[in-house]
Amino acid sequence: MKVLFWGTFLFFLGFIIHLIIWKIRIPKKQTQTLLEIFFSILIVWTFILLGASEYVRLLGLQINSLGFLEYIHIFIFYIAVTLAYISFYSLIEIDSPSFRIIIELLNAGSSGLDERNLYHALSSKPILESRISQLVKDGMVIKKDENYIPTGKGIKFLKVIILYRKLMKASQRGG
Amino acid sequence: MLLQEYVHIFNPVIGLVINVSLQILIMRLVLPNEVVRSFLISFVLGFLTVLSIELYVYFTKAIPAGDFLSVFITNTLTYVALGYCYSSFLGFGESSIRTRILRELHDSERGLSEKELAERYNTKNMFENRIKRLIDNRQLILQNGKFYIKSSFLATIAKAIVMLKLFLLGKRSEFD
Repeated sequence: MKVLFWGTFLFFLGFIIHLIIWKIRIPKKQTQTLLEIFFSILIVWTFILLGASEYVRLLGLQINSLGFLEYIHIFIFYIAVTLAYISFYSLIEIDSPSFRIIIELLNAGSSGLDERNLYHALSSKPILESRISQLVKDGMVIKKDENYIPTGKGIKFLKVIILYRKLMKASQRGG
Repeated sequence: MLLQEYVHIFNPVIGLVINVSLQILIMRLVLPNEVVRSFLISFVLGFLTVLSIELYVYFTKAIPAGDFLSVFITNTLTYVALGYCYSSFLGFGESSIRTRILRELHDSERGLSEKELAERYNTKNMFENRIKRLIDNRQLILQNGKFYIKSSFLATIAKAIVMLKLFLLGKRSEFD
């Protein structure tokens, strides 16, 4: 029970801090900020566990009764849930093309949309431009004169994806 | 006994290893280029591994039912979260626009301008592919020349995402 309690408690603590920061000002690098928030909590909590559990006990929380194996268990649970949340967050941060299609059809309601009107509604949202600026923000692409060029970080990321697709024997398309 | 405890704690990670290994094997040997189906099959098989280890530990260690249930919930949630992360990783190679842009830029010698990228990456084709995929998955229907949403589950998920966007970002779309 302790593992589930502490893992969930730490995750919600991170979520509340994330919410407060977002209500004050939405960061430019949202994914990076989320990683910083959630991993800082883990580091601070580990510090408390190692050195300041007596003070926590005064607040009515029993933290020093956790064994090493329980700590590892909480660590695995917390990391998994945090990474899943950060992956899910990308759906909130940016609109995927499929999401845009569904939203346009939801807005149209029971009358639906014919091909012309659907494409007209979709093309009014500059998805390609949005993705390019996202790549620039993430440091994967830089703009030199008029051209966009992938950075070392972008090439490394791409190579991992290509290598993995080769491992699966998947076609080298995508996108 | 200690080994058994470690196996119990790392059970979701073992499940993920099974999920990933089987997914690669299924794609290479049984379902070529079927990323989604191979993932779903291997995800279920990985979960069955997690479940088997949980039951083995429950019966061999004779732990109280309450403790077993809480660890089982923890490990199941961890496994589902890890599986979701893996599916997102697969999505980067399968349908991510950013990966496609990076590939186009990497393949060109001197990089590409926004206009050149738009010529190579036809957004109309991109939407056509997505619509075809949604129709194939029976999530959309084309009736009398008009598109409609067929899956109420998908509509609910999309509405939930819009609510979350409003709650966290204060807008319904990145383009608002």
